[in-house]
Amino acid sequence: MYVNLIHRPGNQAQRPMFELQQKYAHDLKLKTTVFLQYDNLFEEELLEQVLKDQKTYGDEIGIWFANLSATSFVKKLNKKETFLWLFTEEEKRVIIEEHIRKFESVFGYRPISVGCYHMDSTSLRLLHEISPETKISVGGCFEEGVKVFHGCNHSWYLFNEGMPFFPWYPAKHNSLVPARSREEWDGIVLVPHLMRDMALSYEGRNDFFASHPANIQRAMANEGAICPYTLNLLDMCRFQERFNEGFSYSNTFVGPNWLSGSINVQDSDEETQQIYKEYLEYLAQLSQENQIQVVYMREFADAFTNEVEIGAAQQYFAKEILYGSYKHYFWYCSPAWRLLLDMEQGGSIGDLRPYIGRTPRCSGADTEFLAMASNPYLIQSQYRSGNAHHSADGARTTLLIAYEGEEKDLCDYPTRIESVHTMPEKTKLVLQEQRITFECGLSVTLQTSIEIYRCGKIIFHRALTDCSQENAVFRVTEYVKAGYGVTEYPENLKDVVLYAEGADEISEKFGYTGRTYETAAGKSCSAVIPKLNVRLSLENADDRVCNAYVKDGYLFSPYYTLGISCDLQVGKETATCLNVKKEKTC
Amino acid sequence: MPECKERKDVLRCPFCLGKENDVLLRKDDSKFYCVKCSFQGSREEIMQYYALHKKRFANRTKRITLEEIERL
Repeated sequence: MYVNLIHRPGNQAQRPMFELQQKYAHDLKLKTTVFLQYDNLFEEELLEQVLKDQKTYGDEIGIWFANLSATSFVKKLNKKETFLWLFTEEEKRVIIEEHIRKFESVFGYRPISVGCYHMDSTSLRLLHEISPETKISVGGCFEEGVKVFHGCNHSWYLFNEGMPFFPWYPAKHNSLVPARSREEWDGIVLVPHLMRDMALSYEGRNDFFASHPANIQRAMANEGAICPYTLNLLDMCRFQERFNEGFSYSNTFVGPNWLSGSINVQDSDEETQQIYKEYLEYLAQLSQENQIQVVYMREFADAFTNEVEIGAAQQYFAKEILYGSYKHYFWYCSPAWRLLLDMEQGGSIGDLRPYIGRTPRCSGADTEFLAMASNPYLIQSQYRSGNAHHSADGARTTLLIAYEGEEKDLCDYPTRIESVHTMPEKTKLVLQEQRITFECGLSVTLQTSIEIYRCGKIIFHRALTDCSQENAVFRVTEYVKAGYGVTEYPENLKDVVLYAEGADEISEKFGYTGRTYETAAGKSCSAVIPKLNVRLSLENADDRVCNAYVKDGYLFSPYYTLGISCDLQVGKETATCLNVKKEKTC
Repeated sequence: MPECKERKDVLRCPFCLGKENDVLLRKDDSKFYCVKCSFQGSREEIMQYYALHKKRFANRTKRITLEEIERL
């Protein structure tokens, strides 16, 4: 696993903490990347120290694009924005040019490594044009969006949901989507800002639970200076080498403001600094044992481009460890889509972001998206109900299994991942068997295996392996309920078109009627979402005799539903394909 | 121990924190109060609620190694 350790000097008042962080890192012989903000480039004493450290310890120096409203030249622009991704293209150009110019005038070269909480596609293009030497940037905050917005009392305008969780090759049309080819790649490697707890990223506010010890204190997931979760989380990242051909990644970037007097940390400064130091000591220990490589960001850029092919899928098998529930989640990200499989919800898809439509997306005051850089979802069970537990159910997938009029929903049967098999084009998950008992006393055992393909296809295999009554016949329905959006609120679905193909050819516009359209000899059912250039479909993958249906939603349940149903007996199995395809609609 | 500034007498609302929202409490004499959810309490009460909040993280003091993660 590769690890980047990043420090920044912050302002004058925070300088003693920066010096302390640097001392910890240097004493432990950890390679450190130091990001300077614009105003730091005018501080002679600081620059002298940073250059001395570079000579003595080898520190890498780069730029951190932040706190822009405080800079002299942004004040001259008469702008109040603080962050790069929110300016207009013209202003982004001025800001990047001025940062690079000043950096070069101080150090005599342009930076290889830079960072910003979010590097939008316009900023990235300008950066590549203005500073072709730049190879790598911190480029996004994984799953920060609605939940962090709420958590910061509705005042933090960073919407980066639906992005890759590991370092990625950003596509030119949307920096939060991985490129599928060298031609589509912007030319700069992006890394996420921190590695998050990938179970709690789905369940809640994930800046609390990341590779940032002081933020874990902000969550109060420690007891004084005792905070083993920071180390547990790093080991969870190391675990991901098993599923990514030996590759994994983490970074730590704690600003000096966090180590003393933070209003969001209720522990003493001594405890806070002790936790940070112990975290770095663990990095040093693992590094000495050759378990991880702590490298400069520029070194990581080279390693990544040498070791990870453009277009490769990345996977993360997350286990919830802080609350002690040990739930299983599986994340998958390729240039076609990003998926989350939720074992607590019976192995259903809890989050689906289709990248395949290739619709451009960029934040900024001069774009239609403004601050909302998040990639839209088709399914997001946390925001959009998921399994039914209040009123009607919401966005999710599942298998419905019925016997003599009684229907059971696989979402009600939590399971676990039994095994993961990774292959170049696909990954196969085998889930723990689920035992379902009906009111009449009859019980049946179901085995699910799931094949996930890079190209935007997933095949659900369902086999009935055991039943208390040999000849019982069940009606099983593979089920997808979805919408689209970037927040909790429903979008207008009137431009969505629903299809079912079989004995009949059905095509209906979404109209909030609540109607169901069904055909015998079902081959497929699908929904076209024009705004995303995407068709989401469910297909009969084994030519079995089945029905296919589509359901129009209604205002109290604003979703479209796809279903393929057939009879099934013990000893038999079904294969159903869910996929996302590009649908040129505009 | 190095310090860069004096710690302010600022606490976060323990109930808003339970909803993963950072809301700074206002102070009136010795009582703290929340403008978001109407909570009121003394420093001692707030510390008790913080301790309760932490309990949700059952493994907050438990080291879970890579080998243990593999088995979970």
